[in-house]
Amino acid sequence: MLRVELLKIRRLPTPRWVFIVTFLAVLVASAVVIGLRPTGQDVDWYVDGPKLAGEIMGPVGAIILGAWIAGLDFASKTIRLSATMQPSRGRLLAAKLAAAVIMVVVFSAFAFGLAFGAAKGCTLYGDVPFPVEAQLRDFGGAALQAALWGLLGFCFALLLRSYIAGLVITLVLAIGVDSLLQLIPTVGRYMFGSATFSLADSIAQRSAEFPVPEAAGVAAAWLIVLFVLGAIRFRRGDLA
Amino acid sequence: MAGTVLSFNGVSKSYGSVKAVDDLSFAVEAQSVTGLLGPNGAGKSTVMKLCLGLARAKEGEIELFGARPRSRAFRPAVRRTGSQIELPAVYERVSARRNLEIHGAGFGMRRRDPWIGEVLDLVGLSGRSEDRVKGFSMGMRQRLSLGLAILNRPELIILDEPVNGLDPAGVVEVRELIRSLPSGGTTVLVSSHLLDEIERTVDRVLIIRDGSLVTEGAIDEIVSSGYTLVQVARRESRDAVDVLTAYGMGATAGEGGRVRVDTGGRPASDVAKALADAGIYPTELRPEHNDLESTFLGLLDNGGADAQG
Repeated sequence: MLRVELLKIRRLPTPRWVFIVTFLAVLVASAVVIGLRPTGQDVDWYVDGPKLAGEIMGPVGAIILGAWIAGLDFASKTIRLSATMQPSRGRLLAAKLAAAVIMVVVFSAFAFGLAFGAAKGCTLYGDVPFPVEAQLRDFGGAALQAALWGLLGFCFALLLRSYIAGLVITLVLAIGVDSLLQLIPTVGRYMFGSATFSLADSIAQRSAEFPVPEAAGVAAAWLIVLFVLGAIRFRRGDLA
Repeated sequence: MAGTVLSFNGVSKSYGSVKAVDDLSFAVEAQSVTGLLGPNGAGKSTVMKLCLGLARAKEGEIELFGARPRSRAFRPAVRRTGSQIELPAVYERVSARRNLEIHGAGFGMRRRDPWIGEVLDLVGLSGRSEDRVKGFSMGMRQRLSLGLAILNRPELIILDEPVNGLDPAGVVEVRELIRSLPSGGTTVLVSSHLLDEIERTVDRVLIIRDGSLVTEGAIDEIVSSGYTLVQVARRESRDAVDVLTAYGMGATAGEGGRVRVDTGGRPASDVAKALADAGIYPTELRPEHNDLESTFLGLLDNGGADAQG
């Protein structure tokens, strides 16, 4: 069944468009940086444009892909066909989860790899030194953060049995609600966003708000609880 | 017939407080075309979902190829089926061929498997196989959905309203396709609200209402009025009535030598024998049939009491 899920990713247009738009976003950001032809700027000025494109498109694209893999069959009503093709719901779900993990990791690596390459190109153009190792850690942390948001999108779409609902809830959480809730001291400690920020910061060797074990535990708890609830609903409920 | 492919025994299924299927029992014989009839909300789609394990029964026993849901044998049994339930379920933004390729991969088919082309041909989509489904009419989606249902060469096909949205030529094509399936060893369970179409397509019918069985049987039995029409010479019609009445059959003379006989459940050959013994030789003798529509409406009106009694 993993073969079928991967075939859907290859053949259906949504994943392709996510990759294309991400590529264009990084390209446009780099073109703006180069087009302004600045002089006397430091490295951050050249890096921030492509990195910002990656930081926007990375999590958004990963969330789209994660929610799409979980919710596509519900949106198109093809879940009945999939469930008769693979009547073991556990195996069907495992295939979808594996496809989602592969996809969000590949996409996050693509988005931030591309942004990293573009940032390096911009610094070459500006003739400023590019601290490869530090930037690699920085982009790597951001890529991990994007992949985790993508998995959260998968879990929400699975639980709600809806691509659109999963996508919207995760995006709303990522864009605003999570940040607002982080302002509340006790609640913020257990928010998914603050946990992923801390993980990204620790990879980038910046001072993280929360220690890595705690941040990893909070992020894992969000994903595991949502996935388990979604899996119970998927396995026990009617696929009508 | 080669045994039972699917059976329900006292199956019930509720959605909240609504009982969608209520103590339903029936069997589908191998290599037959069985029609599932009922008004909207009768539980037809739920029955189909229960067959495939997509919905789970609250009570009763279901057997698909001898396997019960939740047993290990049920999963391979489901893979021996093909189905199209409710609206055509397809990926809109890719071509018909791509849809078949994606689902074929789940059955181990390769992308260029020649069977995919044959299926497109069978359902009349070979000319539009590379077009995006998004631009397809309802009828074309139905054809694609039917193609997906037969893609894995299933032994049991479950089709829910397969001719919805088809033009008259399409209806005939799909009917012929369905009728041809049993000769290849396939069993078909089909629902439709087009009673005329069902009458032409199926061997047996199951009529349900409010999730319960109203009646079941061969299509000829279901639509039979219980009367036999006899054509004799005009001058002999009175004598024929007298003879048949003497044999304990209710008979009335019609126009032009036609006699309508209530055989009381006896075979038509008894009518022929009674008349021949009296020296009256009928030129035509045939069971009188109602159409399925009037039979169906009659059964639903009286709750099937007559048919079940």
